Amino acid sequence: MNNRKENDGNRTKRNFTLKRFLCTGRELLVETRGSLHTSRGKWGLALFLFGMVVGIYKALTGAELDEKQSNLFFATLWSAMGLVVLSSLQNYKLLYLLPMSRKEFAAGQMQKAAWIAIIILGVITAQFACMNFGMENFWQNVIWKGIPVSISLSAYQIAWIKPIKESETTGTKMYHLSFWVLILDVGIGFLNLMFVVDSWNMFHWTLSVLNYGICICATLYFYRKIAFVDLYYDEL
Amino acid sequence: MEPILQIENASTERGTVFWLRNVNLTLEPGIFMGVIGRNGAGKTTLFHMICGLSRISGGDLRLAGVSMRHEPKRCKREMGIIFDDDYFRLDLSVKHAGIIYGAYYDRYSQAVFLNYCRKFEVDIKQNLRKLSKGNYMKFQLAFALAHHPKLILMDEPEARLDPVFRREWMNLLYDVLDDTCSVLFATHLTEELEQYADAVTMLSKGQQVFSLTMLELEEQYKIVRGSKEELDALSERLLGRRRMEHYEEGLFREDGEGLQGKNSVSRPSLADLMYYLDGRD
Repeated sequence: MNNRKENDGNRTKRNFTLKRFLCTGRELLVETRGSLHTSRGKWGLALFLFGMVVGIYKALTGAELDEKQSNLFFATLWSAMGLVVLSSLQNYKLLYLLPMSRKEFAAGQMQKAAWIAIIILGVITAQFACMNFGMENFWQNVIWKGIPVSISLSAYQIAWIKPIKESETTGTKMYHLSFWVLILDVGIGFLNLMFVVDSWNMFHWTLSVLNYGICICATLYFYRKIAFVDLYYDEL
Repeated sequence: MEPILQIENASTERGTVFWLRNVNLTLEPGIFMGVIGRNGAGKTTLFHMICGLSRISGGDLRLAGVSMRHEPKRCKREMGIIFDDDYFRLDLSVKHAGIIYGAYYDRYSQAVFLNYCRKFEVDIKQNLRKLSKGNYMKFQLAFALAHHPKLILMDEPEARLDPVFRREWMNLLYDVLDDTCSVLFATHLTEELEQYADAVTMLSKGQQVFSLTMLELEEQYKIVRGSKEELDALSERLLGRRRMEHYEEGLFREDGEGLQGKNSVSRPSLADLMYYLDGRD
């Protein structure tokens, strides 16, 4: 993924700019608001709020760190899934009808995923803040656990869409590999968040570095899969 | 003047099966062209090919001189799409749908869109899901007009509409479209096409039967009626015939010269053409 210039007639456009990122945020907001009119969107919001409330409540009331850890990931996962359900009611046909290239579309999805990662990071940070860490430990956990885990979970936003989700007619089973990449990505995030600690050792550092590596590779993999796939709507 | 749409030997296939083969079609600016054919003839596939939902496996398709195969994004900007199925996200309000999707078009104006919505009496605060079928079509037309397309594609949008609205809809189209915008309209309602269309393309089993102006159709095809003996005498020149209660009827692809006086010769309706050219094996 790069900030690729797209030659569009006589003009040249960049796919990754602050303006586009902000526009995507606005689009996400409007779409989320729209999806609240559907029962699916309402369930998504309920799941998001439930995960957030349970996570913060357990972080505040859990007696031991072990108990807090076991709740943290599941609460975050519920929030992340709720968020993705809430904001991922795409109509694939329209995406093919709109005048945009596959790379532009992929870039848009990446930016949506980035917004979701920021929201999930906010949820995780709030939970960490309720866990009574020291300041140094708090920031270490945010940087080495909160950020990579939120990127890992936001990959759902990209993996949700066709052709990653499914491709029935070309004979290429794209979904299987993507499924395992997603499992690996979320799995390492799960492990990383399971070991929220107040004292760090080599094992914890290794997990966090692995989480960073895998979530970045998975995100790049999904981006490539959307941006360079040569499939038309009727072939999905 | 450059044609709005030019399709040259275009085909689309899936695997080894051709869905549409060697279509040739030219649409001049300001022309209203109907596309007719039986179910499964390839009308929707043709529309999918034009708007980039299907791959063009052979030939080329140019929209305002720009190749769809090589520059699909530029081509899509020149199209307004009015389909029967719900391809917009229905949980958005009319106003928000305009804001979100209009951002993808360079020439889109939200003010123009809202003006058309007001003109067509579409409530901009209403969710798309809650719009009536007719208002949903008007919304699609308002959105299309707001980005100033050169071609409007309508794939059987009127199928579930009452006859009064259909007539109002066609009048509305005539009111708002200018000479720089052409319309390609797939429909089974051939009587309405006869009233409104400037040209017609007919498809059958994935192949093009003809693509002619209404005047050319009138000149090239004739319906002849007469006794069985009279039609037997003409049988080599007939494209198809059928027996009625008191006479027989056949379709000619000629000017009908030499038939006047002997037989009753008339202009075929589009339904007649579909029946004789595609009605039977």
